Amino acid sequence: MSERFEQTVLTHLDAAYNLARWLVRSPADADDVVQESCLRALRFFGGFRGGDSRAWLLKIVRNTCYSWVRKNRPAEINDEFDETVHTPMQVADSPEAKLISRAESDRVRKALEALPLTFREVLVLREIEGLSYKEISDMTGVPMGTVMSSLSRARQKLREQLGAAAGKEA
Amino acid sequence: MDCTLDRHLLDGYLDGELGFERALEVEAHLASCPSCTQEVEGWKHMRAAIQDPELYHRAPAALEEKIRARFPNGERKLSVSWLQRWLWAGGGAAFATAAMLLAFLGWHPASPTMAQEIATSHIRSMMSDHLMDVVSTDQHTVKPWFDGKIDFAPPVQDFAAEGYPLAGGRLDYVGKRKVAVLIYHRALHIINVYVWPAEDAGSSPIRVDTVQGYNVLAWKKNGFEFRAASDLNVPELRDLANLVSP
Repeated sequence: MSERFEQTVLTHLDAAYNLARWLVRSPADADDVVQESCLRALRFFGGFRGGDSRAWLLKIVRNTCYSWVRKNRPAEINDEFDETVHTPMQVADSPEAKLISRAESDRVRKALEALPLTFREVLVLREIEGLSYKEISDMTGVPMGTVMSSLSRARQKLREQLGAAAGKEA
Repeated sequence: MDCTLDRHLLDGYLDGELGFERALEVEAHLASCPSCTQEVEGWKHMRAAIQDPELYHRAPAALEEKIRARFPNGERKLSVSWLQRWLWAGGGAAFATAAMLLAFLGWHPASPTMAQEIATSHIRSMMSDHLMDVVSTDQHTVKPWFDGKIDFAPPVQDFAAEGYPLAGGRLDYVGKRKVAVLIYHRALHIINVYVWPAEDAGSSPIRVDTVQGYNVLAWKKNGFEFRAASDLNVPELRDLANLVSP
């Protein structure tokens, strides 16, 4: 393995696995997807012109995940932004301050895992991988303004999800 | 409830993605709108929960082995056609020829740019066990630790309240001199901040380079040269830079 390729890909293996694990939601499948992504990365490496290798690799992982989901769980792909479900949030009685104090990482994890693919993706890229709007836009092919509104909706969804989970427990 | 602010602006604000003037507008709005303030604070709590290391899936050790084994120079040569192998070898040969030619022409790959040197040092610090010489989140422990080890007193401050907790310090060797390195965390990212005395009292604005996927910021201020290296995004690195050298 060339040293440059190794440095580019294996340095970011945790990030690659983390993204795959969140998008396909199973350790074994994430393992396969990351291996497949690395093979793809090797194939495309000639086209890599330097720059941010983490974003470059994550983009390949992301696309591989989407191929995987399309093949294995096609229903998830259609489960995209449903505009009709989105209602402006009622901020004044937002219970999140109370929720968070009880929300252990486990609950947040479950809520995040339960989100539709596109919401989960944008939250993981922004909040866990710390990518900028520009990087997310480059990766997903949507304009930066749309990244901001997707994040807005994803955050709203996550709050709702946590609210629903808390409601069931109560 | 009669707040008319575009909700998306709050997200842009939370993500540090609004321009300076927009961000000031949102701040002015927050000062007079309790519901938006509550939303922003609420998400900051949520963000902390999401960034809990428990939610980060690190790659299993076996995965790296599997990947190494599947690559051309690995033990097994799986699914790589003779053509690919030939191209691979050809690429290597071409590279070797180019390297020899460059060496002949007097170009020394051994004299990398400063940004390259910083990025390499950053990568090395994370690969080895040599990230920190003094591990402490207390600036009053880290600052005196440098005494006597270097001939200057670097500015050492913890920015946990701003989201950049100090994790420790170490000595490193960059640009043919001993430098102080401060290690900060931002969520799961590690930031190495390199500090050494500047040659003159002037200051220079932040310059950004990207080397091997890492962002390297370079600036000069308050009599010091600063470099910051991380895989963290540039806007947040700038934030830290402004905190480190106000």
